[in-house]
Amino acid sequence: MASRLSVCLAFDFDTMAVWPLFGMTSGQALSRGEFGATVGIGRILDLLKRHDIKATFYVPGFTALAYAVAARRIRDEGHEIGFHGYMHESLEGLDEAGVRRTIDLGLETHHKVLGVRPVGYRTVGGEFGPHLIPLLVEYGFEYESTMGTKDFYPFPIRHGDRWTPDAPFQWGQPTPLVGVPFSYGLDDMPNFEFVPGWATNMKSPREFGQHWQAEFAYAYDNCPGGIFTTDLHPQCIGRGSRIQMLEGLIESMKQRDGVVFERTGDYVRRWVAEGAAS
Amino acid sequence: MTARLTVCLSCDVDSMAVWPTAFGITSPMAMSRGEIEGEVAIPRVLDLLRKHQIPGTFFVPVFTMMAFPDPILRMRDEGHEIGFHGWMHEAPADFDRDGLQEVMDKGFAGHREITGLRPTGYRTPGADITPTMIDALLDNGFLYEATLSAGDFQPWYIRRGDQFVLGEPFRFGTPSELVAMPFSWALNDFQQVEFVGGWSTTMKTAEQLREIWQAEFDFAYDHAQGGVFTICMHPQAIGRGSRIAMLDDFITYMKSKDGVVFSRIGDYASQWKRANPLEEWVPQHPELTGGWAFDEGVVNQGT
Repeated sequence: MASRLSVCLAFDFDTMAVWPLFGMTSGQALSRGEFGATVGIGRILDLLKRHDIKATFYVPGFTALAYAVAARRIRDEGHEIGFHGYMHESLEGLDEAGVRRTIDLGLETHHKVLGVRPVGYRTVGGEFGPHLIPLLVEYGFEYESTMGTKDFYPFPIRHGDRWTPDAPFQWGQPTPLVGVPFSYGLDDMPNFEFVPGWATNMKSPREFGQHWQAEFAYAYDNCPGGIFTTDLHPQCIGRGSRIQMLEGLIESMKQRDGVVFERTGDYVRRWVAEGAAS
Repeated sequence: MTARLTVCLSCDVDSMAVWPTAFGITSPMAMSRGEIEGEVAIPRVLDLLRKHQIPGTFFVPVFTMMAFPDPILRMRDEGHEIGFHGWMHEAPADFDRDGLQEVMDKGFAGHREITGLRPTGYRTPGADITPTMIDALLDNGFLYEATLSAGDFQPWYIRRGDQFVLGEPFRFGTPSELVAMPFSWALNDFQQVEFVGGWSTTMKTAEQLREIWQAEFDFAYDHAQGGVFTICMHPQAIGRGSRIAMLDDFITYMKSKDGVVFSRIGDYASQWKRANPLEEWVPQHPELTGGWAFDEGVVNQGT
């Protein structure tokens, strides 16, 4: 890796579709999702453009259909479009055919609305179920980004792990699918948003930024060639005071020698190529 | 709009009514947390507004007016707006259209009897808006609703007839004459400072709450020309000593900025509506009216 640390800003463009997962479908909850498209996404894209940064956006089919104009702007400004479900549905309880169907419908929607085929996948709510991993390999996805196995380096995703409460953990086999780190500490929703029964912290932008700075500083000092990545949501980080915090963080990260901002897929491909060469 | 930024301070004066209706808690201990509004918290808020010579907006369930008529009449007499917040803080989702009408009729009668006024502003008790409720607000001639979050510092027109069905594309309804005045949880006091077991547990200090509010205010002041900065408070939460002192300082800070005006929500909403007639506003706002949705008839613009 030529760079010392890659920053891959990643966003889940869920809009209204995230709220049923929390059991919230009132007009109030849905309007919070709507904000991601009506206000949040524009502020983010303007910010990325000002700093000439390419990022990654996981766009559910639902959002691509409801806000095609915004989704196309993401694509046209050179950002990566990742997969995030067709209707941002949970895979819980779905059989293999059901999971296959959501992938097919989602890919078809991305093709129809955006003309792209994503190589990156982010699960909805961290729910994999028993069928997803082999299907992601079969469909040619190159990476998945919801696991916390490592913090600042990718890792191979295994299939076939088994565990019971009364026996040793049984390790599955590595697959070609690359795991890109995820952590709730760098996820804006549980830090900022009020979701009764799920998240009630409601940190200030400064508090969230403090954790981000500390994680970034460790990665910069200790993880050469690593990746520093996030899970941000336009409906959350798009609020005025939070966007300002994000801009401050970007400015301070840019000042460090050897920091590059890139799309997750570009980083993963280089990581795979260099691993294969070594 | 001549102001650079308009600040609308608002309170939901729920008193005891919020505890059984929103949280299912009926103990005297919980009810007493609401009771503090009558003699202590509402007067503190009103004294503060009088000291700063600024108007506010109070969404008052009739239940509260009947329990504490004196501070409510003072509120009216000192020029504050009184908005609708149910008869007893009823959640709209529990009622069909006829049931909602009964609550509204009973509520309007209560407002008339106690204050002699008919409110034109509505904030949804418990925040959960339903499509049926939007119909009821339009049928009853409300000017605005103040619980939605699709914008932060600019109003918009609320759509009627949205359809959100799991597993299906979103169907945008038709923009109506009902003005949305922005609400956000970050600018709401209650769940940031009050302890409600299983619901809100963060319990910020007054200073922490102010930090969040001021950061949003500063952004709005710098970036939302002509916009509105609305805070939603509850006397039983903001009326506590350390919090009312914080609000006093925060108001002083906001007043110190050139071009900041304090207004009642209804006044801002009616000015905004006059300046942005629905038929002119709709074509300028495709993002809020379904104009950004995918159209099957348009050729794939993919690369």
